[in-house]
Amino acid sequence: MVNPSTDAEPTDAELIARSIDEPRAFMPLVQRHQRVLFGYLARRVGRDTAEDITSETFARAFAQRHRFDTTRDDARPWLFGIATNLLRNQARSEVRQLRAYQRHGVEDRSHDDHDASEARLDATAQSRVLAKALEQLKPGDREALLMFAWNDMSYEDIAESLGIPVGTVRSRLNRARRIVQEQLAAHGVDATAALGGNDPTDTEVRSGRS
Amino acid sequence: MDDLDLQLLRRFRKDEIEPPDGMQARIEERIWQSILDEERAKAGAGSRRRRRWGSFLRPALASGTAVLLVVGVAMVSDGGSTATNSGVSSGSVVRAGSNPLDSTAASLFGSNAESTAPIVGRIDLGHDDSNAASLASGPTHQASGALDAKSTAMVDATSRDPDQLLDDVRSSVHEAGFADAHDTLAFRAALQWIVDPQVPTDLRSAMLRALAGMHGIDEASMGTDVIGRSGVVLGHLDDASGIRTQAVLDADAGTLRELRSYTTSYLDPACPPGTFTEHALYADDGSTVDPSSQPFVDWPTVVAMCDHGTP
Repeated sequence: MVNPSTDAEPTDAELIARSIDEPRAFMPLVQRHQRVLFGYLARRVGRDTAEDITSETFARAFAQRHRFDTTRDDARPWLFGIATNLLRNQARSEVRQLRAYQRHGVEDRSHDDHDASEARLDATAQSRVLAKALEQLKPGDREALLMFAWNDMSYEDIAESLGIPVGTVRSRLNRARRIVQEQLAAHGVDATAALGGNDPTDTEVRSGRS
Repeated sequence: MDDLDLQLLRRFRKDEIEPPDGMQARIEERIWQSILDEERAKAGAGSRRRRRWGSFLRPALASGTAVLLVVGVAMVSDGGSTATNSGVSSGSVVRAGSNPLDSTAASLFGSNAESTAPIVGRIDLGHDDSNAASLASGPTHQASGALDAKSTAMVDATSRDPDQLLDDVRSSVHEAGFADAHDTLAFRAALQWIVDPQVPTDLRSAMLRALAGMHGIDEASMGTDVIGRSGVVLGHLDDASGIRTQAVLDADAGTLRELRSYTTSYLDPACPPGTFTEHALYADDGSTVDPSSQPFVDWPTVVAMCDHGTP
C-alpha cells in the first residue's frame, strides 16, 4: 500500500516494485497515467475503442508488472508499448477512420466565436490533408510520429515503447515528417493559414526534441 | 516554421482526448478486480497453510475432555490493532496463523466443574431466534442466569462427539433458513455455546473440538483484545466475503472478552481491507466496555454498511 506519510510521490518504478507484494500499490499508477494513455489512443482509433484498449493495457500491465524494469522511474514508455501492441490489432480501424477524415475532415472546435467559420473551414481542410498524410505512412513510422507529436516523448522513450533502437526512431521520424510536410505543401497549407488561430500550448519548445 | 507539421498534428483530433464520464471508475474497477483476484489467490495459499493448522488442532482437541489449546504467544501480539480503518494487508491474516505451535500451552476448560463466572457477551446471529430452541440459536437463560428448561433439555440431548456436533450445528443453521457454505454462522453458533459459563464444560469443550473442524477456522492462539487483555483468540475467515471474525476468550473461564470482525479484502471504495464491521468488548462482570472509559485506546470504528458477509 502506498505510504501516505512519505512527502515525495513514489515513482512509477517504486509503485510497481511495491505492487509485487502489495498488489493494490498498483492502483496509483492507473490513476496517474490513464488520462494521457486514453487521449493518445482516442486520437488514433476513436473513443470507444480507446477506452477498451486503455483498460486492457492496465490489466496486462498489472499481470506483467514483474517484467517491468524498475531501474526506469517512468512507466509511460512501458505502458505505451503495451498499448501499441494492442493497437496493432486495430490497424484497419485506424486506417478506416483516417479515410473518413479525408472525406469529411475533423471538426476543430478550437476556433470559436468571431473567427469561427473561416478558421474552421481551414482547419477542416488541414485535417483532411493530415489524415491523408498519416494514412500514407507505414504503421511503424506513424506510431513513432504520433508518439512524438502527441505525447511529448523523447526518442529514447519512443525507442523503449516500440522496442527499437533510437537510431531507428530518428529515421522513422524523419521519414514520416517529410511525407507529412510534403503533403501539406502539395495542398498549399502554409504557416500563415495554418497557424492563424495558433494554439499557444502547441508552440512550446520541448527539450530533447529534434 | 519547420515545425508546422508537428503543430498541426498536435491539433489533430485534440477534441478526442477528454475521457468519457465514468471511464476512470470503469477502468479502476477492472484493475481492482485483478488485484482482488490476486489477493484472494494469495489468501487461498495462506488459507491452505492455515488448514494444516486446523488439521493439527482437531486431533489435539479430540484428545480428551480437558481440552488443551496449544497456542503461540507472540503471533497475535497485535491482536487489538490487527485491523485498522486505514487498512490492513491480507498478510496479517496469514501472519496470525503462522508459527502457532511453539511455546506456551494454556488450558481453556480445565475441568468439568460448574462455572460460577458471569455470562459475558452475546454473539448475534443476525436473525430472530427468540422462540427458537436450537444449537443455532444458542443457550437461553432464566432470569437468575441459569439455563432455562429448553436449553437444559437441549444440553442433555446434545451429542458430545465433535463430528456429530459439527453436523448438528450445521443442520441447525440450515434449518434456521441459512445457506452457510463457509461455516460463518456455524462458527458464531458454536461460539455461543463455548463462551457461556452456564453450559456444562463437557459440551463447551466438545463444541470447541467441533469448531476445529469447520471451514475457515484459521486461528486458535494467544492474543490480546483492544485494551490489551490477553486471551485465547479464535479466528474464522469467510472466504467468500473476505470478512474475518475473531473472538477473544478469557483463557481461564472461556468467557467472551471481545468479538471483532473486519474486512480482509477490497469490498468497495467505502470498505477497504481492515474496515471493522463489528466490534464488542466485555468486562469480566459481563458488562459492555464503554469506549469513552478507555480514552487512550485506538478504538475501532465500525462501518456497519461494510458487513456484506453476514447472511
